[in-house]
Parts: sequence; C-alpha cells; structure tokens
Amino acid sequence: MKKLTLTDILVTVTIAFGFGVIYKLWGPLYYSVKPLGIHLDQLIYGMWFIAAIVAFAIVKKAGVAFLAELAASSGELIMGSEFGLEVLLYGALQGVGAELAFALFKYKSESVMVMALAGLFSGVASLLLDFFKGYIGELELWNLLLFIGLRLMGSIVLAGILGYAIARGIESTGVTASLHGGTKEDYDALER
Amino acid sequence: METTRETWVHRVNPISKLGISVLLFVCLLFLHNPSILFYILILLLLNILLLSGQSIFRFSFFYYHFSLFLFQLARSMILFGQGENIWWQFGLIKISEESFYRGIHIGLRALSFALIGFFFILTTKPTRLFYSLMQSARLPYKVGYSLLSGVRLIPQLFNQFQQMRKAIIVRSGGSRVSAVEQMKLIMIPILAGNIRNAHRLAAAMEAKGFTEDKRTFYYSDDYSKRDVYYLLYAIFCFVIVSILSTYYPIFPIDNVMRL
Amino acid sequence: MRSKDNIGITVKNLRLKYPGTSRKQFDKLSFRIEPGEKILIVGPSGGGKSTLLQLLSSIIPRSYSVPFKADELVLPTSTGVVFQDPDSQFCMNLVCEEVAFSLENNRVPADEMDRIILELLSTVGLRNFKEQPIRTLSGGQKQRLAIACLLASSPSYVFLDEPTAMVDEKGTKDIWESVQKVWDQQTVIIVEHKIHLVLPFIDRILLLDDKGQLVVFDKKEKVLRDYKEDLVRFGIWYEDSWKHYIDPLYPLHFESTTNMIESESYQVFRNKKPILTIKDMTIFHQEWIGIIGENGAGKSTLLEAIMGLLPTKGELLLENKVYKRLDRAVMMTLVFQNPEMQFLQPTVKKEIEYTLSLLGWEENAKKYRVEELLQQFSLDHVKDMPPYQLSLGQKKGLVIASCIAHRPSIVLADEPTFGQDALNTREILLALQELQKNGTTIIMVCHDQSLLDRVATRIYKMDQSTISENKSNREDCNKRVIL
Ligand SMILES: Nc1ncnc2c1ncn2[C@@H]1O[C@H](COP(=O)(O)OP(=O)(O)OP(=O)(O)O)[C@@H](O)[C@H]1O
Ligand SMILES: Nc1ncnc2c1ncn2[C@@H]1O[C@H](COP(=O)(O)OP(=O)(O)OP(=O)(O)O)[C@@H](O)[C@H]1O
Ligand SMILES: [Mg+2]
Ligand SMILES: [Mg+2]
Repeated sequence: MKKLTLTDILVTVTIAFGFGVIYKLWGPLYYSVKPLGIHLDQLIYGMWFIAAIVAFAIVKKAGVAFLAELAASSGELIMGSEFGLEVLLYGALQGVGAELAFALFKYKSESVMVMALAGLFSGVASLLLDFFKGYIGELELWNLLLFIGLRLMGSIVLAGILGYAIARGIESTGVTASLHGGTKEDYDALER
Repeated sequence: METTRETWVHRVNPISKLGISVLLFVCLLFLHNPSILFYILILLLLNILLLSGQSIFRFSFFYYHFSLFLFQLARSMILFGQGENIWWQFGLIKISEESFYRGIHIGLRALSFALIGFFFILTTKPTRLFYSLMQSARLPYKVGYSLLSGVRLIPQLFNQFQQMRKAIIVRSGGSRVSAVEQMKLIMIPILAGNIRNAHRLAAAMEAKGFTEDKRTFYYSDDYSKRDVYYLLYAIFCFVIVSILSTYYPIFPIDNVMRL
Repeated sequence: MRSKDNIGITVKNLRLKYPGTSRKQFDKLSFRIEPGEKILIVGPSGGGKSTLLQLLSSIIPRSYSVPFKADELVLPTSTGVVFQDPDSQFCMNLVCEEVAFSLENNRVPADEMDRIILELLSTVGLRNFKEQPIRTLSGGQKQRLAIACLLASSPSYVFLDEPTAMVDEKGTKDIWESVQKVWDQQTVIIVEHKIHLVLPFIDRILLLDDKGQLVVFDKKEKVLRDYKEDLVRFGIWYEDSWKHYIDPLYPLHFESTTNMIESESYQVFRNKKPILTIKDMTIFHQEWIGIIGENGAGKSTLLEAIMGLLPTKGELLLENKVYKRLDRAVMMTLVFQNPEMQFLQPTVKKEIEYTLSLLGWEENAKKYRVEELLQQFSLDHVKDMPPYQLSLGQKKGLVIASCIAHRPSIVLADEPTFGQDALNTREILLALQELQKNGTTIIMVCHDQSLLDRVATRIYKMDQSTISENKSNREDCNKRVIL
C-alpha cells in the first residue's frame, strides 16, 4: 500500500474538519433529541462516524479513516465540544473501527456495503467505550438491546449510507478524478 | 476561541497541559465517588473563572452545560432502573435510590469532562499545540502542518457558507430558492471546493520546499518551571478535593458501583 | 544542488494531456532556457501558461499527476512559485507565520526569523500586517504576501504566475521594482498578460497560441518588432495595443438624469466594525461608474453593500425606492472578485443556464442566449467541463457570462478583467457596453486607469486614509462625455 502523501493528509484533514463543524453542531442536537425518550438519540449517534467514511471514499488509502476520525474529533474539541477531551478517545477508537472494515477488504472496495460495515464497526467501537466508561452494562436487558440496536442502525444509515452518498456527490464534481491523476489510456494518448 | 487576557496557565507548555488534562481525565474515569466529583467540578469552575482569561463570563455556556447535566441525570435515573430501594415505578420504568446516585454521578462526570476540555482549549492556542506536538511528540510534520491549516479552515468554512449563500442570492435573479435546495447547492460544493483547495495548498506547500526532513520552528517548544508548577497545582487541587470530600461529603454514598 | 541548477532548463518534444479532455494541451513543445535568463511567457487565456509553469517548477508531477511525456526534460531543483490564485497558497493563520513557514523549510534559525520577516514584509509593503490573520487581507494584499514568502525561500529559479493581477497600479510598479532588485542573479520566468511594466526586466519572450503551440521564443526586441501581428492576434496587452483594434472602445454618451442609485450617510460593516462610510453618492441611470483605489480601500466592500449582502446603516435608494435584499437581486447582479466563490453547477453550460432556468426562460430563448455567451466569451470548447477546471481567466469570463445572462438592469463587477488577455477583456467590455446601451447601469472595480478611461462615464477614487477618518471616501474625478 502506498504511503500517505502531503496531499492525501491535507485532503483528509480538510474533510475531517469540515465534518468536525457538523460534529460540533450535532452535540446540541443529540442532547435535544434525548428527552424525547426511548433512546431516539442513539439513532442519530452515527453521524459522528461519517468523516472516516467520506475521507476513505475520496482518498482510498490505508490509515485515512483513522486519521480523519481523529482529526474531526480534534476539530470538534477546538470548537469547544460538550464532551471535552473524551471526544479524542472516542474519535480514535471509532477511527480504528472503520479502518478495520476497510482493511478487511484490503482497502480495495468502496461499495456501499463496505461503507455500511465501516459505520457498523465504528458503532461497535463506540459501544465498547461506553461499556467501559459508563454503567450501560447495568441497563435492563430490553433497554440495553434497544440502545444497542438503535445505535448500530443509526451507524449504518447515517455514517455508512449517507457517507457513501456524499462521497458520490463529491465525486460527481470531478475533484476526485484530478486527485488521482490520469489513467493508462491518457498516457497512451500521448503517443498518438 | 478568543481569549482576552493571558494568565500564567497560557504560558505553560501545551504538551504538559495536555498530559495533565489527560491524566485528570483518566482519573475521573476510575472515580466512583460523587462527592469528590462534585468538589472537582467546583474547582474546575473556579479555575475557568480565574485562570482562563475570559473577561466576560459566558453564562449562556454554563446554563447550556448545566441543562445537559440535568438531562443526563434524568435519563440515567430512568435507564439504570435496577436496584433494591425503589422510589417510584411506572410500567417498565422505575427509579431507585441506586439509579438516582448513578445518574448524578454520570451527570457530574460528563460535566467535568466538558470543563476539563474547555479549560484546556481556553488556555491553549492550537497553533502552539501542534507546533509542540511536532517538536517533542514526534507528530509527523505532514500531519502537523495539515492540522494547522485545518484549524484555519474552521472560520473559513463559516465564511464560505456565507459566501455561497450570497452567491445563491446574487444568482437567483430574485426568485426564492428553497432551504433544502440551498443546502444541496452549498454542502457538496463547499466540500468539493475545499478538497480542491487542499490539493492546491499541498502543491503550494511542496513548492515552498516543505518536506519531512529536518527543519527549524518559528515557535519553539520550551519547557520551564511553569510546567512543574502546573503539575504541582493540579496535585494540590486534587488533595484539597480529597480532604473536602472526606470531611464534608455531599452525598451519603462513596462508591456508586458498590451500592 | 548548485551545479545541477546551473544547467538551465531543457524541454524537448513535450506532450501533455489533461485526463478527460479531448485534445493534448501541449504537443511536441521544445525550448531551452539558459541559467540567469529572464523569460516572459505570454499567450491567450487557456493557452496553457499556468500548466507550463507548473511543469517547469516540477509541481507536475510532484503534486499534480497529469499525464505527460518528453524526450528530454532538464529541470531545476531550487524553485519557488507565486501562484495565480491568491487564496489557496497559504497554510498558516497569521501573516508572520506564513513567511516563517518558508523560512522554516530553509532551516533558518528561529531567533533570526522575526527580523527577516519584518524586513521582507517591508519590502512588499505589508509591514503593518504582521500579526493579521491572512483571511482578512484583501486580494492584492495576499499577492504581496505570496511574494514575501518567495523572497523568504530564496530559490535560484523563480516562477511568477500573474503575481500582480489583483494589485493596484502603484503596488504593481513597486513589486516589479523589488523583483528586479532582488532577483538579479536568478533565473526568472514570468507569466503576465499586461507586459509593459515587466518588459524592461525581460530578456526573451515566449509566445504560446491558444492551442498551446509555441509561436515564437526570441529576444524581446525581435518579438516586439517582428511579431506584432501575432501579439495582437493572441490578445497580448502592451503599451498601445488598443489602437490595433478596428473599433476601439469609447465611453457611451448618455443623457439620462434619472437617479438609479442614491445614498446618503451610508455605513457598511464587516464583523460589526464599520469599514466604509459613504457621505453621498448619486449614480444615474445608464451610467458606467469606474471605481479605482488601493488594495484594501474597500472597493469590494462597497459593491457587496450595494448588492445588499453586508450589514449597513443608512439608506440606499434604487430608482428612488428602498429595496429589500432579495428584491435587489431581481434588478442587480454582482460579479465576485474571486470567481470560484460563485460556482453552483457541475458544468460550464449549466452554470450559465442556472439563473435563466430559475427565472423560467423559455427553452429556445435560453438555448440561444447560452450559445451566444459561450461564443462571446470563447468558452464553447470547454462547455461541458466542471467550472473549476478552467484556467483562471476562463473562470472569470464564465462568472461574468452567468451573471449577465438574464440582462439585469444594474451590473456590479469586481475586477471583471483581471487575468484576462486583451481580446477577452475587449469582449467583456463590449458585452457590458451592449447591456449599457439597452439601459443597464454598470459599476466596475478595476485597477487599470487607462482601461476605465475607455469605458467609464465617471470614475470614483476610493482612498484608504479618508475612510479611516470616516469621511466621504469618494470624489468625482471628471465627468467625461465623449461624442
Ligand atoms: N485539472 C484540469 N483538468 C482538465 N483540464 C484542465 C485542468 N487544468 C487546466 N485545464 C485546461 O487546460 C487549459 C490550460 O489551462 P491553464 O490554466 O494552463 O491556462 P492559462 O494559459 O494559464 O490561462 P489564464 O491566462 O487564464 O490563466 C485550459 O483550457 C483548462 O481548461
Ligand atoms: N471578510 C473580512 N473580514 C474582515 N475584514 C475584511 C474582510 N474582507 C476584507 N476586509 C478588510 O476590509 C477592508 C476593505 O477590503 P476590500 O476587500 O473591500 O478591499 P478592496 O478595495 O476590494 O481591495 P483589493 O483591491 O485588494 O481587492 C480591508 O482593509 C480588508 O482588510
Ligand atoms: Mg493561468
Ligand atoms: Mg476587492
């Protein structure tokens, strides 16, 4: 796998900080959905995993998902996150989750399925941290299942599928093409 | 975030500050005594008041976080329904003594996490932090400078957002463009535009001779006695908190895990 | 490194093609540049000048992977570039940090930096901006900063891509003078449309045509003497290029005395700070107002305020009525200084169509108008490309085309001709004048006094010092009416 160039890293960080702003706005939204009851907030939790997925879909290299998620959470922190330093820890782990999913497919596939899987893995990673940190293990069973179910469902839809759609949207503007340079046909055309 | 007045904490090395904040953060993860948390919170508030250099105290911000705390409390009480001393029950939802204290604890802790983070960013310039991380934490230069330019991106994003809205108004010819349509016209072009700019910026930086090789730094990464003072100060605060919570506990329990 | 940099530049049989385009940008391009030479590259907009500069400075393929091949390619290693686009060449927050970045790359000891930074900023006239965030600089100020950064990295090969396109007239002179002083020994390669100020500094001129073919590469005296026709044909600006056009432009004679725009004690704010105060201003129906002034004088701010895009205090009357923001867009349009901020659509053609579609133009009329504009602004061959892949001059042309497509009754244009070759400039001015003939009022910011003299009925001069004293910032130069 090729090393990350300055361009790759700058593009990744740019995407990450762009979503960092959305992450920051998501905090108040998350808390305002909370009082609606039965874990509806968990449904929108997945948005916090989207940077990794969009960044990977654009740059297509190893390490990008992790870097993006970590950078996005630092961006969120710098803007004054309601979660404090905690976001860095969550960001890192969620990034590792997404990275794992892409690694499983050798960083070759960018299908919507893989993106959904990456969202799912990030969701699982965030749950692991929650278990360690909070008292979630002591939730009553029905409650716990609902909690996990909604979080993972949100991860797949908001991070995986929405992330995929946004990446396609960006691709349609043609930037990704100039990021990745010419094809073999282009080089052949030079000889004509 | 803008600070108006510099205090000695601003001049503590960013890495020391980050290290101590992380340490505090980890300690809090393993603390299960709500009284200690309560006192920590008070001290954090005092620190932010006196040392963050904010001239105007941001009341709105504290109200906001305090209301988050109440949410957490209410939510946790309902969620962690298990417990022997049931105070109130309605169908599947029950509130017990245990759930009440756990709720308080989680709420206090979330609030402390937020305040630690706030205190850190209010007293640290991102530029200095990334410069320090490159110099003594072996953060690759590529990543460091990318993050530096990323920080600059945040105010720029708001600018771009406004610029795009202006562009839409100008180009609308006076006809109304719906909010959804505006979002579509704004979101993707801003992202795509910034990716394109990032690519150009990378080209420009490399053209200016940027490499991973050895380099000098405009902002040096000094450590001084202040860093030690800061650590001592943190320990001192912790000792005060322990004493206070031993002699004047706020809550009748000292471990929410062992209820 | 030195030794390698002493062998100059050799390009033999270069072929280059952007992915997704139908024709090669360069085909069989060959030339040689000796070390220490001062070269000027000229050619029409979209001819590939920026691309060539990127190739010579190794930005292609180091940062942009564009397919190309050459039989022989000898390129220098110690290079520095000032880019055409002022906005995406800075990576730091403050002005001083940006200059420091270049110094850091060159391993200048940290304790010497502050002194050097101040020196360099003085050279380019930014001494008072040391601690200012770069994003609050005006376009021309950014270009000056870019030159300071280049000075900081002291390369032996200097590449300048229209470094003064947005700089005011005095600043342009200053910059070229300092360039001459500091880069006496270096090899300097410059791309410029307006050549008269650089000419004294130049040894040879390289002329590219609109297809990226080499027309001539020779001593400047010879090119200026023997290739005049080609220079005119490819729209190169030089001292009196205007007189070569059959119908040179003159300000339109008009008789209207109806007030179009009228304001009194109008104050404009940015970030809650008053930037600009206009005591009183009256602009008549069908006038063409030229606005000239130093970088940072507030020209762009004035246009945005008239368009209703900035917070203001005081009243602005349009046709003696007060208009709300969205209603202003019915009659007015604004061409932004930076064209990239104004693109909303995925292709050039759709970009021009956008407003027409919103206004519900009938299909045939729309098609006809779009075709007309594509021809007029020579954008026909790029009509299906994404807007941002155009060259800078083409981008600016596109923005103007898409802003005036629906023939608004007031056109506010912020430096519409920067980065344009003479032919395109003329097309743009003609297109605007045609609107004017049919009753449109035009307000145009421009740094080129001689150009304004040809089209403007009145010229406002904006002056920074009067603004800072909160006095009226405008004075009528002269009311010119030419038959
Ligand atoms: N990334 C890209 N992808 C496809 N085509 C491109 C790309 N960049 C430039 N082009 C095309 O290559 C041509 C040359 O562009 P270039 O920017 O080199 O022109 P230029 O001579 O510098 O023009 P100007 O005077 O307007 O700056 C243009 O027609 C442009 O559309
Ligand atoms: N977004 C902004 N925020 C704060 N200040 C700004 C902003 N944009 C411009 N300014 C300041 O407002 C003043 C006027 O800027 P403006 O862009 O109107 O100048 P200008 O006359 O158009 O200059 P130029 O010829 O370089 O384009 C300048 O001093 C500039 O520093
Ligand atoms: Mg160019
Ligand atoms: Mg301007």
